[in-house]
Amino acid sequence: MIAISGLTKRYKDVLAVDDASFEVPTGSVCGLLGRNGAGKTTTFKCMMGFARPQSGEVRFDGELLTPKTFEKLGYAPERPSLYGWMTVANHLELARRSQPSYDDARTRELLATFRLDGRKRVKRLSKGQQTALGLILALSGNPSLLILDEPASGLDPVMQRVVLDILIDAATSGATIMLSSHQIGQIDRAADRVVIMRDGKVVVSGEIDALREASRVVEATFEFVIPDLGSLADEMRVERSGKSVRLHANGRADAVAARCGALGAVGVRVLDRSLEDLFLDAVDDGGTH
Amino acid sequence: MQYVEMLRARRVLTWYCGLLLAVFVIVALSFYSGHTHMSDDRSPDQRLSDLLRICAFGAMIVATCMAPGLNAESSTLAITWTRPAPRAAIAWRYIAVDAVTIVIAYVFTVAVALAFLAMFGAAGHLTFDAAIPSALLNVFGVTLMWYGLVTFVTARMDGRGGLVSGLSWAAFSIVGGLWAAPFPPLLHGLITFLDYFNPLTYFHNVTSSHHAGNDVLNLDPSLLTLIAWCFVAVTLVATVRLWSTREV
Repeated sequence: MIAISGLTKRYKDVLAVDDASFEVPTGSVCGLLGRNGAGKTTTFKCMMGFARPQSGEVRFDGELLTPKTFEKLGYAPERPSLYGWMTVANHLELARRSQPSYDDARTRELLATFRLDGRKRVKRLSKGQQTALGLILALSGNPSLLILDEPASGLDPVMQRVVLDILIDAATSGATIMLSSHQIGQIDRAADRVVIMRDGKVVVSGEIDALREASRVVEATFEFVIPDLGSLADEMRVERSGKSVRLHANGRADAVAARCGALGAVGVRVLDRSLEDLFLDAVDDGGTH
Repeated sequence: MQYVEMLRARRVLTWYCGLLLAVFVIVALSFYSGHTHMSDDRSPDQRLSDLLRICAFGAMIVATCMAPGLNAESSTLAITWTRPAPRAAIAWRYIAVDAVTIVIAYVFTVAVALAFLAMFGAAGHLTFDAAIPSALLNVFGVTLMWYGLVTFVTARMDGRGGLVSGLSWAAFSIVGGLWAAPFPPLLHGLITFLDYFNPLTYFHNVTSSHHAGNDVLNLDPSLLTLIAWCFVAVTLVATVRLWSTREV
């Protein structure tokens, strides 16, 4: 389990992370979403001990980060952090020597999956291949906790799918995974939870299915004019357009739909919302879209 | 974790020893083909401590090649710092690898120097003198002081450690050379102050009455060596502290 509470990181006059709190339960895949500069990478840096937060704490399986945590924690940064002058095999040897839980068979399997040549120097690898090597290093110790910053960045669509499958398999085996991505489709496919950040704050956090359920919209069409909606208008966001009204039902879509029917609506639809809709709503600053 | 630094050390030693061997082979070929002749007015006796002191420059070259090792990790800390080992321990292991590399390079330099002397038939004139231990202490003190200063200055820099290390040769040579120049008192005082931090100030010929740098401090040679080792301790402890607590 990963638990973050009250995390705040300020760089001079920039508040990069503002009192962020969320939890990722064991065996869960959590997507961290946000626009550029929302604080995702800084959050990861604070989690990994690369940056010292002004306040708050991060716990992995109930414990604060120590060197020993890295025996079970794998990390792949946004930009592959590799030695350009070393070969792929050198990197694996480094992992073997420094990681007590290094799994040679698993690493060779991943090497074959990503079709990496062990003799090649890293500076000769493409960006996607470097990303793949970074992932292999993060996974080489069969970690039970994985932090991945844009893990599929630079990979072709086939390899992106392979990476997501690997992550889903790891989570099925009990690993707790947190990953960021700008490709919401990847998060939607791999993650069961999501954290959305805006301007350093966590604005949405929870299970994707529950968030979707809570954000369903009821669209009601009336024959002549929209009647007085009574208490509905006070309880939720209402968008009126001609003879139609959209009500953001806050998890009570079925009840709201029934109320609209009772008010004389000639057509009532309950609209499911995609993760992308949730994201766009969450990061909407009032003028972007 | 020191594996990366060991690979760096292997590269540096390969280049350094290869170049030294190449020079040796060229001189040997020239000597045996009759293009190089020994002068007959050479001194009959050569103190080994003098030779050890001259060879210090080989150790210094390798020290300045290895010194940016921790700095070079600035772009790969996501690997280095996610190993299950304390950061300070990682840094000390890097420094230990570098120290061993410097010693190996120094021993190799001495060996090549002895081979040169043997080739010219002068090896038999070498004499073991009592100053050898103090010469070795001074050589390694000064070399590691130089190494420590570079690692200290570059501990929190994002790259460019190699540049700083290279420029340190120019900086220390110039500051050391300027001390004897007839500058106004204020400027002379500033240069003297800078020379306190110049490893070459503490590098001296323990067998000679004239010391290369001790005019600046006007201290006993053994005290100069002691100060150099103090610099080593302080700069390395500070380097480890700075490097292991930096933010990325």
